Amino acid sequence: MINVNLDVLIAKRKISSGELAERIGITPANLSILKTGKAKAIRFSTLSALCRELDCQPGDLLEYIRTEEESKDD
Amino acid sequence: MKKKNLTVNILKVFVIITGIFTLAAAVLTPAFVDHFLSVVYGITDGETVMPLSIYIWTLMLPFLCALWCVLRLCSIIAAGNPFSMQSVHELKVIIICCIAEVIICFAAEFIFKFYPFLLSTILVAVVCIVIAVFAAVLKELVGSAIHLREENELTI
Repeated sequence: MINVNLDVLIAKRKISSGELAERIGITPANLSILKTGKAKAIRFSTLSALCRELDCQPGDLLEYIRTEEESKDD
Repeated sequence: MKKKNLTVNILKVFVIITGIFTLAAAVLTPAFVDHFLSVVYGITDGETVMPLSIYIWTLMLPFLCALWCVLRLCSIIAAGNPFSMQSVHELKVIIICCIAEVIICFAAEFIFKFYPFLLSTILVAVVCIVIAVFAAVLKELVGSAIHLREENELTI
C-alpha cells in the first residue's frame, strides 16, 4: 500500500491543513481523505500542487509499505 | 433534473396504478375464477374455485412485493442517489420475488394438477425468469457503477 506522509511535511512547513487545502485547490475534506490513507488515487495535478506548496519531491510524500495481503498474492 | 423527476414521478404513478389494479383483481378473483371455470370448462361445482383463487393470491404476493421494490427504486432515483447499496438491495429482492413466482407456479401445478392451465403457468414462469435475468444484469451494472463512483470520489 502507498502511505501519504502529509502530516510530517505539514508540520515541517508550519502550515495548517485548511490553508494547504486552499492553496492547492482541494477541499479540507479531500485533504483529510489523503492524510488518513482513504484515497484510492491521486491526480498528478494534485501531487504537483502538493510538492509545490510543501517544497518537496513526490518520494517525500509517498511511501510504499508492503502489506500482508500483498505478500500473500506473491 | 426537473425532466428526470417528472419521468420518475410518472413511473411511480404507473406502479401505484398497477398495484391498485392488482389489489382490485385480488378482491374479485373468486368471482372471476368461478365465471371463467363455468364458461370455459363448464365446471359449476364451486370446489375448484377456492384452490385456484388461493393459487392466484399466492402468485400476487411476490408480484406486489416486487412492485413495492420498484416504487422504492423510483424514490431512490428521485432522491438523487441511484448508485447506492439500497438500489442493489431492491434489485436483489426483485430477483428473489421472480424466483419465488416460478417456484409457486410449478409447485401449485404439481400439487393441484391444474393441467388445463399448464401453458399459462409456463408463460408466467418464462416471463418471471426473463425479469429476474434483467434485474440480475441491472444489479451487476449498478454494483459496477457504485464501485466506479467510489473510485472517482476517492481520487483526490
